[in-house]
Amino acid sequence: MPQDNAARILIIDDEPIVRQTVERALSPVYEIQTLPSSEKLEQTFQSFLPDLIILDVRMPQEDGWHLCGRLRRDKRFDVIPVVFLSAMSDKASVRKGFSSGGDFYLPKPFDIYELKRAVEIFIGRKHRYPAGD
Amino acid sequence: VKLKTWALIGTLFVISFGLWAGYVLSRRAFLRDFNAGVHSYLSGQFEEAEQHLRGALKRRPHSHEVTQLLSKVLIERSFAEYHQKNYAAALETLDRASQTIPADDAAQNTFTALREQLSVPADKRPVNIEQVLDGLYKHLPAQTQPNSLQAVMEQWLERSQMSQEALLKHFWDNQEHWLVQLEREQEQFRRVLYGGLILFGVGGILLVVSLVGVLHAYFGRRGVFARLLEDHYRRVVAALPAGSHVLLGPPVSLHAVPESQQMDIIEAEIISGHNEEESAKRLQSLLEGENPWVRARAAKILYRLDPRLSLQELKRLVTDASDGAQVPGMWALSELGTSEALDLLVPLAYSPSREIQQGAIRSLLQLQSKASLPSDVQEKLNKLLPEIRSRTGWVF
Repeated sequence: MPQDNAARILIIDDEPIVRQTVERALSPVYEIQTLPSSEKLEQTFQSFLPDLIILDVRMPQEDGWHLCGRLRRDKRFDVIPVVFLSAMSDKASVRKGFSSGGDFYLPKPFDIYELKRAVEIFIGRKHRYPAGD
Repeated sequence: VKLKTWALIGTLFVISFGLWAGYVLSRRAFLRDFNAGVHSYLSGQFEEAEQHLRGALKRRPHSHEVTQLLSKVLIERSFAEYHQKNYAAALETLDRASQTIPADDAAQNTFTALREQLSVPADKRPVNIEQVLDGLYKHLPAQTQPNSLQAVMEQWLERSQMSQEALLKHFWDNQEHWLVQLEREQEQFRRVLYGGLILFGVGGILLVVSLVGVLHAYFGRRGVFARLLEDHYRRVVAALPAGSHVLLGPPVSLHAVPESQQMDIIEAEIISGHNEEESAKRLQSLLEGENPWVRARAAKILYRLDPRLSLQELKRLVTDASDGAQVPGMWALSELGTSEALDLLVPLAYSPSREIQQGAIRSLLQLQSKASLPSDVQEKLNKLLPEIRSRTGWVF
């Protein structure tokens, strides 16, 4: 069980198996919430403002790049680090991930330890990038 | 000429431009003060004229014209103060005038004589004759010794007049002279300004054109940007965790190799149905090259003309012990999107090397995302992926 003041992570991926695997790996340390798409994102943010978002790129309604760009343009959420997970592992996709405002791009398949390490880096960095007023 | 030399030329250009711009700005400020000084002097505003001229002198301490005009302004101010019966101020101003040109002996002698005259208030001159005689009589030649008080007075007045005239003449009493001087200064400033603008403008354009030419010669059209992007993404990829570097797709630098353009042409010819036989021969020769990315791409293009040879080459690449050859091979297979490509990729997903496993699964995921993938291949792949996931432990 995570501690009361544990960092919050939101996982948005349309693949149930990826959501489950990542949640299982991170839930002992972090408070986790998962979404299959960006549809209920606003609603989720009202009760669960994450410290980090793990975001799939290819999703049926709104793709991860578009969603990330939308978050970056919103002053309320533009400081939340975004880690992309994607099966699109060509360089053009990585480039697009970074240019949409992503902080990290982890191409699928990935080792769960790689993801844990990336999460630790960004959660640990949070105190250096406090949210604005 | 090397890139460093160009950087050096550019730096020198920027430095010399900066120096010129600094000089022009400083000279402009000097000219502004000098201009204001001349106009204040001509309109009789001695106090303002002194203020502006001192400002100009601060910017150009060795300007002969400014020193001369400042002395003249102070002398005239001193006379004006004397006529207003402000004797202390007149002497003080005269002292300041004297300090502006301490090295000019002739002027200093005249200043001394003038000071003696101004130190006697105008209304006391006829009365204080001893002082006048003490101060002036002894300087006069023997043949012009005054023999009456009237003569002494006349000589004194004449001498006083002459001293003032001499002094003013020494400092060019022609007021037009200062306007001419000012115009000359302005003309020189214009020359420096326009000359610099032409020189640096033409020089800058030439430099930019030459630099663009050099960059074009080095990197080719659009190559500069490709090179910069390549460097940037190499850093991005280097920052990814271990194992993530098995990114698919040829490096951007591949577009710069001559074979790349050749392959573009061949591919276009094959798609349009021209020179197929010739294209196949040229592609076969490219398969013998050393760059595995060139070989992989050539094999991929060859698939349309000779699937057997293409797959043979790709199999050779993916079974090569070095991942330097395997990654291009896997990329080409994922681009093909055929049943044969799937058959070659699946065993690689169980390779003992984690990196090859990762690369193979990435290729399979790329394959899965292809809209052109035949439905039977898609179905087969969908069944295989969960099995690969459970057996390898990779998350996807």
